[in-house]
Amino acid sequence: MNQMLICIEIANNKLKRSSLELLSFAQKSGWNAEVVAMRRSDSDMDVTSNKSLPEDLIKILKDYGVTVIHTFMDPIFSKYNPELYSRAIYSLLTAQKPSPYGLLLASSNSQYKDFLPKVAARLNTGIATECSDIILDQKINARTIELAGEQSVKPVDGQIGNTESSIQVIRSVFSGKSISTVAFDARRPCIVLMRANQWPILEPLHQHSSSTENASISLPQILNHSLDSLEGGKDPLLVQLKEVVKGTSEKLDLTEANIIVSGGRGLKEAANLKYLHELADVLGATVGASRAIVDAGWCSHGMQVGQTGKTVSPSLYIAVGISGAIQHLAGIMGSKVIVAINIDPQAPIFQKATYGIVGDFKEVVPLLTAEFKKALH
Amino acid sequence: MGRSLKRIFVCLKQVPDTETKIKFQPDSSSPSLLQLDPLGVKWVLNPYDEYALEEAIQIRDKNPGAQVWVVSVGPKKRIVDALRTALATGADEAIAVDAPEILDSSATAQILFQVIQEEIALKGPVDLILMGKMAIDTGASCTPSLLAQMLSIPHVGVVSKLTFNGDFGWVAERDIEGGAKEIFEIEMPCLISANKGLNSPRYASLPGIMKAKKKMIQEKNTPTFVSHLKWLSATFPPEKPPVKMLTGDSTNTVVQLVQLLRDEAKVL
Repeated sequence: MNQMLICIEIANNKLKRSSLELLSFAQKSGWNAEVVAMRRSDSDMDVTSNKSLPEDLIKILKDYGVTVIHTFMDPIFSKYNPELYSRAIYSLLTAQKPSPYGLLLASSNSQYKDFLPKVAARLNTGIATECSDIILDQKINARTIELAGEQSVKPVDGQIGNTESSIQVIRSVFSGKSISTVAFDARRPCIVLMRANQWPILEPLHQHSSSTENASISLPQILNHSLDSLEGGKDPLLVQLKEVVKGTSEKLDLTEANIIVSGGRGLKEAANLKYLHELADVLGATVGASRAIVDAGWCSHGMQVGQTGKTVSPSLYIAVGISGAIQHLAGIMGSKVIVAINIDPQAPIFQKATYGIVGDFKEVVPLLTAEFKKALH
Repeated sequence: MGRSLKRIFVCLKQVPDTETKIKFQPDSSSPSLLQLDPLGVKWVLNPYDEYALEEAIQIRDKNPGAQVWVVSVGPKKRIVDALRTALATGADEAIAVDAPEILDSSATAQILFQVIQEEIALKGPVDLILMGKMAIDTGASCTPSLLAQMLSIPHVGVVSKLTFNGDFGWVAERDIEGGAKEIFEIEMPCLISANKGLNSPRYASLPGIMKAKKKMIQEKNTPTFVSHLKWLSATFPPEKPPVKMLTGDSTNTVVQLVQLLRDEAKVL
């Protein structure tokens, strides 16, 4: 049952970076991979023609070895609804019983974290979010995995798959203080939500196949599922999305950003955030904030990085005027490289940074911005 | 205006304080699995649950005759402290559900589901369930959505603003990526998970603390549950090499930094 279903995301008619990471993993795993895409707003998708997905996007999926593309293109799907989306994914996973899927894979973003647990509850299978890696086919007899505290197992809808191998995930716990290895029990499919920036993006295997080779790899089957085809598809929805209020930033969300420039109380006043925005613009980075300046009202809570803010995993995190309170560090320990710029040489952040500069941000940051500009453009 | 809001449940979790040093030991009942070493751990109420509790108290105060019930799942002996604090802060009744130290989200949801169902059968409807969007120890964020599904009630998660709709429901603002907000309409009975910014949690008052001391906390045994996830091992992140402090004047250090980022760290 080495088959996975991957939830892919499309923005501006392109696959999101996080989706490319998931596809790379699927390709490397050797598992058969199917994908599912929800209809986006009309502006993202050419819905006037019969084609629901852009040609070049289909080609990329094919080159990654995807065999089936499931779509939900009825207009109702263009508006997020946790009940509707969970019905859709549940229907796909249970179209055949027992489910042929060993794994449901998605990005650990706010939408999937919101509705995929509903799918897990209906399937009575495990779900792990904020994962940093997946280990497939550990050869373990599923029956010997101890189920701590379990009193009884009740099969539901015959969903227990026959498997000899366990799926394990790696995820950080206790605010980044520890890295745990967690094993799923025997029930399938396992639902795994991956943090962004954990896996390398690989070149699609079939990208450079010759035209004759390519011709023999048939295009993925595209199956559009209508609302009517869903189990309980016409049941009333008990929540309704009324409005989406857009955020002010066009950049990637902190949780997905590859480079982050973050500011703290050392900036002295809200107006000085402009130094960070200039630096971020040159780097293509997203701007973040410590709790101190969010609480001071300099910027919105959505920009907060840390224990009661966002947990980030960028390749590069530049902390300007941030002292390095443990609650802030909790949110950034997944960063590959941390640069600290602070006027106080005793600031705790220097203990956790990769590189440190002691200095006045008003002097250092503009010079750094100029230097990056030279190096990158 | 038909129905009135009668009972609000708040699901609370006790978590290790952030400053606590984390250590592990084998699970006494299943040695191949792990448990948290409780020695020296300072336990606090999960920060996001504080917003849920505050919201429940504010809603209760606007609805005469309504009650706030708090429920927590975990080793009975220690969770009663968190429940007593919640009572001192303003909750009306508390239930402690005995359970193992470490539970995955689904197991927690299954336990809460059974307890709430039992409470509904015994004492009538639960109109609103509030809880934090995420527990800071596991960071899973699954329990609210799992629990709502099990109870067959609608749910909006990561809510930073909740407004009564004048009838028997809410307008809930949910925080998503990029600082954007999704505005949902939802009818009770329902579950809402709280994000920071929903309100400003109050501290327990001295009279509240005194009153809570005498309050009886209901205790329940562990209901049946299935763990889908097993904690096999835990490591600590590898020790990072000491920081490389760049020296020299600013024109110099920035050049060094960019070069190191490009050539040594290779992140550019």
